[in-house]
Amino acid sequence: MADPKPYQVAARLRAAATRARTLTGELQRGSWSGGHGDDSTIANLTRAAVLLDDAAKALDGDALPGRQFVIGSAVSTGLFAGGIAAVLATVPDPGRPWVVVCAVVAGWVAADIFGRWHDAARARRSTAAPDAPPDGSTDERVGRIRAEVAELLPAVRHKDAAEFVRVALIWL
Amino acid sequence: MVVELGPYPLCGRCQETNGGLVATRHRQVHLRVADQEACVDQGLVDVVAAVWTVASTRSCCQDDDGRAYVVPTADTVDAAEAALRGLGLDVERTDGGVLRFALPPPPPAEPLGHVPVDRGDFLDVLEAARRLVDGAAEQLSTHTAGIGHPRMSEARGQVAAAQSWLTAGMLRRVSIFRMSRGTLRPLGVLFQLALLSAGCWVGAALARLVSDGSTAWSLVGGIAGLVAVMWPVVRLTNLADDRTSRRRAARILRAYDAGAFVPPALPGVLVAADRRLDDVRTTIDAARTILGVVALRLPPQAFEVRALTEADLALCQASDAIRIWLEAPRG
Repeated sequence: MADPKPYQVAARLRAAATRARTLTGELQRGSWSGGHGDDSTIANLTRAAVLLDDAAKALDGDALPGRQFVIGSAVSTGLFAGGIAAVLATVPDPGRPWVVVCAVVAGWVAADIFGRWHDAARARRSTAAPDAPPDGSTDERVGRIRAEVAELLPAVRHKDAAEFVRVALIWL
Repeated sequence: MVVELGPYPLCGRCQETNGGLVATRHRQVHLRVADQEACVDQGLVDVVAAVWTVASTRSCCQDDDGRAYVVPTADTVDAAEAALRGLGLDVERTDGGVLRFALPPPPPAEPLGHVPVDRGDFLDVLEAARRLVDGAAEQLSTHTAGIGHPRMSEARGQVAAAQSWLTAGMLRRVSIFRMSRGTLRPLGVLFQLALLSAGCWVGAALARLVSDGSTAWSLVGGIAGLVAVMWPVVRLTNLADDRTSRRRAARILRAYDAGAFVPPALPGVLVAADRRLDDVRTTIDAARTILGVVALRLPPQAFEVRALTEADLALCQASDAIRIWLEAPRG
């Protein structure tokens, strides 16, 4: 089987970092609620997540914005342009400066209303309970992240990225 | 010839330069102050750091028959003795130029002051946590001066990050420009719209004037004016938000009885590094307890929760970094 491309390895490293951060958040919240919070595990997962992101960045540059963000930006820009066009189309002499200002303000308000709704929806999604309960104990989940990262290490050809991954494995 | 005086190893560099001495009776901390660097006993880290600002030393020990000693170079022995006396130590100078002194017994461990998490107001409670973290940051920076160990650098950096997040959380809480999630409040909307409209109007008017009343060019000019002022307007909004929020937070906190919560005093420079850093960890952990209690009371989408979460994570890392440093065979 052909070696995975750097961008594919970077995507999997980022996914592992996200899983580490998710687990960190759960442990942190558990410790606030008086549950058993292992500070060393929290700190080590945080360090590992930062290093995995650094490795992904070294391999493939900055992460591209997510699909939701791109769709949100496109809709927002469309509403802005649509708001301007709607006002200009309904006014007899649209070249007057105050009409241009009114059109731009209308577009801005439309985009802002959508932006607020979109942010609220995103916040609701990000704080909603997960569909499925976490699979396994903390140690097992850390073990799975470690196993996946270890499996990726041979595919990381970039020298600095490989070093980041090796140190992340030590923390994991 | 390899000399081992005890179980505690010197760092790799000092093992190469110390004439065969590779391990000593007391845990070693590699210290770098001004142009001098060496591994020193952890009980004398701050004492030696103070001496090195005015003198050079050849040797030191934190416990030699119940007393500590420092051996300065012949030309700096007077300055070293003055520095030690300046720390309040009763110094005995032997014929060979050895400065012997007794370190004071470590103060008894005192419980932390009552942490007022039940008093209700977010700002008051967060201010108490922030003062604890500020105290820990000051102690960490004072008592780890000259220690360049990666874990110590990490601890200092993470405590500084926690301070920034706590400040950001406090400012957002009192902001009159932004709501908790970051979206603009009506005042922020008005502020931005007024400035954006002004930019847009100027652009459209100029373009209309230059193009002799062309509608298309007026529109292009208006959009160009809007784009030109967009970035400065966002910067200006953030600046105005920061300034007004800081003033507002200070005014609210002035009304709060600052004397009601006094952060615990942490030990001074004559106490061994491990004991001082243990106390810094205790302080950090106390601040984390406050942050956890406050974070659970806020809606999870609030920016303040993110600020508290990030501050707590940074403090967790700082505390863990200190623990790793303390448990390492050498510092």
